[in-house]
Amino acid sequence: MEDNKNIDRESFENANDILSNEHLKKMPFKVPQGYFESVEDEVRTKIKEQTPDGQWGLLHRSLKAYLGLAASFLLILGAGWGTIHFTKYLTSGHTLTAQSTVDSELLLDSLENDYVAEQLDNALEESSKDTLTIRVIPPQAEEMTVETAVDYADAVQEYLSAYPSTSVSLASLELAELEE
Amino acid sequence: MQEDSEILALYNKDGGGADYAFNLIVRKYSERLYWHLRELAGSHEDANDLLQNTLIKIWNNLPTFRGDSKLYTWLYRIATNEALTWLKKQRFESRFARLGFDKSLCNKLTTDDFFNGDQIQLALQKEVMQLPDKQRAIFSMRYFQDMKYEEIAEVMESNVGAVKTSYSIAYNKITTGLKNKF
Repeated sequence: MEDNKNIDRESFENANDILSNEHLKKMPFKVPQGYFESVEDEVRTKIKEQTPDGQWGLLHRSLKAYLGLAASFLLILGAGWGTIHFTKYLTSGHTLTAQSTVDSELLLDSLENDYVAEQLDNALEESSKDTLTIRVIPPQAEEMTVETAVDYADAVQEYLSAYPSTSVSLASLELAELEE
Repeated sequence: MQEDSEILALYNKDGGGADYAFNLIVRKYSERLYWHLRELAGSHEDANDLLQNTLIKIWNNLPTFRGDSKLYTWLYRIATNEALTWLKKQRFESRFARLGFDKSLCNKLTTDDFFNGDQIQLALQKEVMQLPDKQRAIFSMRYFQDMKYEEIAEVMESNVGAVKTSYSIAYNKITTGLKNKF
């Protein structure tokens, strides 16, 4: 046992070193009662309450994970419930689709979010396309295709203004791999 | 308590495994991460803030975790970087303060309601607080968290030799400081 302790000990330590005292290795702090039990709930609340930019963190997760080298992608926006779908077309022929439901107002704010705009611009550049097709699918209306080469936020806003927005909390992030 | 590989397998499973896996990570690691951050932050309030930010970053970045490193060291890396960034910011913001940042941290320690150690533990904490930030992080992980050098090197994105050297310097500095006091 003693030999094992010596093997673990640093070469610069010796038994007379004050720091070799095991008592000093204990953390001399306490926490408020019930603190560690509350951490999980607190972080969950904070994740849900993130600011509009922060809520896009959940969508950013999807973007970062799946759209990094997209040759092209289709952004489908739904009015009212503001459903956003990202579809990445993979060279293997498969597609990855992510969707999330956000408040329409948040969606419009987010279109002006620098990060999202950058992702869309990168996707355009990498696809060698001049236009980004945004397909708007409101639940109460027929599908409408909006093409814009310049300012997708304005085009979508104009379309969505025809539909009342419903405030919903960020629902769930679903990821599905589809066979072609 | 589930193994990290089992947690990651749950995360990658279809049908809402992400939430459950994240909850498991929080339950398994939040206390250890807290104590690591507590050593760097100097107060419960700041350590709690850092822990919350760390856990949110873990949640946001889990999709990009490729398994190049162990989950455990990846979590510690996020926490350590969060603390080092915060420390850098605190130092910058207090550059014109009457007391230096290190001194103010030591003073905070003396009046900390959550400190429940003895005089020698207080003296040790004060010595640790005066180390350079990265050296302090390395010392904390080795001395208080009993992490292996290889793990610390992964956390710090450094090599084992550099970590051992840094720890040895910190260890000798603290030993000398304590000997001068007692």
